[in-house]
Amino acid sequence: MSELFGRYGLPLEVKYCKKCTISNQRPSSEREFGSKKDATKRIISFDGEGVCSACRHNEAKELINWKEREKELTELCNKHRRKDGSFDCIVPGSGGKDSVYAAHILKYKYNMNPLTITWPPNLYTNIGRKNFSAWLDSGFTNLTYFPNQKVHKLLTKYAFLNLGHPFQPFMLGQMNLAPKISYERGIPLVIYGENPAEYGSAIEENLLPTKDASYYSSEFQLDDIYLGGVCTKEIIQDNNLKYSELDAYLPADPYKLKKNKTEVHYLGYYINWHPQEMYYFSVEKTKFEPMPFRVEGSYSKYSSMDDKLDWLHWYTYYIKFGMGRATQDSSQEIRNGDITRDEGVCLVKRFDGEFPYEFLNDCCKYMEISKETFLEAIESFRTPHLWEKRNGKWKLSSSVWSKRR
Amino acid sequence: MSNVIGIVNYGIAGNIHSIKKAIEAADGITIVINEVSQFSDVDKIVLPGVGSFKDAMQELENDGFLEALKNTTKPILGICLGMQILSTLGFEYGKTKGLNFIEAEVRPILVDAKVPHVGFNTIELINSNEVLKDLENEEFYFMHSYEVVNYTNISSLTEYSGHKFVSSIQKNNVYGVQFHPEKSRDAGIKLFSNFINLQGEG
Amino acid sequence: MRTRIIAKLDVKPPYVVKPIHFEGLRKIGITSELAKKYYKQGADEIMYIDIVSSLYQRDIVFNEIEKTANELFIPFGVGGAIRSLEDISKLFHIGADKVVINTYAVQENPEIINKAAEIFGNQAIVINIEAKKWGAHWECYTDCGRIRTGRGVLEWAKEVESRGAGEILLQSVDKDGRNRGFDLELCKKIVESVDIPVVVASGAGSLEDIKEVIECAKPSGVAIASLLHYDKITINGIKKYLRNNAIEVSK
Repeated sequence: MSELFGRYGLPLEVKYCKKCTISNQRPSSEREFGSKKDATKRIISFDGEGVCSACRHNEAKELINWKEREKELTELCNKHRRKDGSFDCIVPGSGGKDSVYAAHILKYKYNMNPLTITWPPNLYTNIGRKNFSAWLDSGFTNLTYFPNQKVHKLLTKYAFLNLGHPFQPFMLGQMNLAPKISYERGIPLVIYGENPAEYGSAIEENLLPTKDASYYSSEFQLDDIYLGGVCTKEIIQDNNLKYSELDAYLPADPYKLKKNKTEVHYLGYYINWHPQEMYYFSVEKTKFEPMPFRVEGSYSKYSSMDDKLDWLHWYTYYIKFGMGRATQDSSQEIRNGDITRDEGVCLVKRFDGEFPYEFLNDCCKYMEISKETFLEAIESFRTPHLWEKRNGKWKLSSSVWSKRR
Repeated sequence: MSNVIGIVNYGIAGNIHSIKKAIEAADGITIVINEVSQFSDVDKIVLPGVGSFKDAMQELENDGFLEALKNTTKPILGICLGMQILSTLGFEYGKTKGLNFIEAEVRPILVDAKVPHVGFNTIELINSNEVLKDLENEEFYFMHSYEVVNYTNISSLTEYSGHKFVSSIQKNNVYGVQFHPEKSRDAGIKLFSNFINLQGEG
Repeated sequence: MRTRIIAKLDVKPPYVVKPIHFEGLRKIGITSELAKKYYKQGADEIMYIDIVSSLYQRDIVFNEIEKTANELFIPFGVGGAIRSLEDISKLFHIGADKVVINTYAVQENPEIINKAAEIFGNQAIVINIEAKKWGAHWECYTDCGRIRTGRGVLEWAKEVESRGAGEILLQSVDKDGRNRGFDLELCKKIVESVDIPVVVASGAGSLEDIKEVIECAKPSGVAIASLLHYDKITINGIKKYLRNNAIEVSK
């Protein structure tokens, strides 16, 4: 290890953004195909004033001419709108506030004919299922692709045990499905909700309305693709699987995308995205409901609540990067002016990194591992420079509420 | 002519702020009475209304206010609890002696309805009371679980769930209202105005 | 007895906000301005509930309360992050007429109800209940409708009464901000189970909703938020409608 960087290539010196609550340990979104254990992460960037790129992106939003952007969206819709009654755009989602908003405005404001598509949660929560139905009840056709559950559970298990990233299979399917449906069904336009840069991806990705195709497509050999940290070829051989059973997790075909003229856009480029207002929109216009109580690890009731595995995801994230759901939620709300940084720090101090008791049993059962195996795996991912043992208990070595700014 | 209203400070309870604001809205001048010497600086006295009978009487005694109040001929307005302590005896948390300005006892309200009695209600004028001048048709805000039980010096009654209780009293320089004029909108401000405009010491 | 029509301000100081299902912090306006607006419209009371200070585990923002209390010649109930008798005393001194307590009493120290009622008089102590329906019963929530307590609403309502609370403010996590009517069953059940006044809140979407909850549950008061904040109706309008429907309200 060099002197500056520790495990996962994370900076040894932990710094916190001056404006929000995230630290310099936060990874950006990454191309998931090549993920291997202990691989170096690309992290969120901090500028010379100690402000993170997500906050800077937010500041830059003030300077954007949103009327112009709306015009661009209108033109995009005009270009793709079909008059023959067939579907003219794909809206991926599962009935969360972002997809409710996206589908709703595309259909009812921009007069498009969206086909909603869903890569379903690993393990639906009650509220997730309810909101999914509510979404369709407000007038949408939906195509849901359920992967082979035996395969999905296996990959989730691999991803958890090998990478400490149980969400990987879900994320792969989610990212790859829409572009594939696009060329399979001949619907070039795919529109997602917000832009990941809202949360800290490379800021240059926000200058365009479209997502970089290398995230969801590539030419590949099965030897080159790793799922859950295991080579795909090996997965197929060891488990006697057929290619089609893993297809959903594999990148889209770039040639087919080109031939179909598939474009993947983010509404967050065209609209001044304010997640809390998306919540209000969903609740006011549809039968959408928030969680009946706050999610473990945060204070929020309106974000990421349809998948029981999400609870696990955020806990492993916390172990690896020292930040959890409360950090994410509070940073987002700080940037959007809903709360102040001080308030965000109070919330992080109070809720971040809570142990996921609520759905732990369900998740272990799903992955067919024991609780002991779960706990051992967690320990294997704990990033040394972020944790220390005090009175026999693991504590963060530095925290946003104790760190001097 | 000097016309300063002194609001007696009961310690941790008391609703001085609202009363002060309401008197000022009625163009009155107020000071808060924290020490017995201040009684000579004022022309009229207000006894505010949050707390318990027992604690209020204890505070008045501790502060040395009892004699000043009993001996003054300056107009006194008791509000809610402030009216209740004008009585002989109170039965909130045991038996406590009051100021004994009127022959009355303070007892829990017993009705077939929600207690405390909370909300706007009307008054029925029985005898004249200068502070209630032109206010007989108004509504006032009540918030109490105890009532004053007496048969003399009653100036108005109020009905609650079929039960009539004393909502204001007057005897010589002493006035009492069970309701909160500082919480009764314009009607309450008018009441303070009436009090401010009373003649001075009797 | 006249049913009180109360304006409820959910506050994230210095703004009034309007959550839905106790989630969201959409700003409506400056607290002191809105309080004055509703006072002029004929509100019988103003309820100021700081909905975030318990959640953020920080102190009461006293100066905002003092500012709001100014020039309000109607009862002013104040709640949010009350944790001690000192807090209560200070609130009365800056203009509160009643104090409203939830989180601290139900999660940590219900004894505060007894002590506060004894010192300040029970009529000045209001207990706020955030009720969430689960099957056939309701559970008490705290920290702005987000933390479960495991306490049943019915049982807690009776307990607070026996401890000396003078009033209950009853809110519904399921209905709040949704403008689709009150939880009538909840309102009726709680009003009938205690002898102290109950003010019901959460769900008013129309004049008919307000009339319905009064006729069905017979509360001492109805607290309104969304309908007023989004200027769908005024308090005068509500009172006029209720009077026309033979429901007694103050002038």
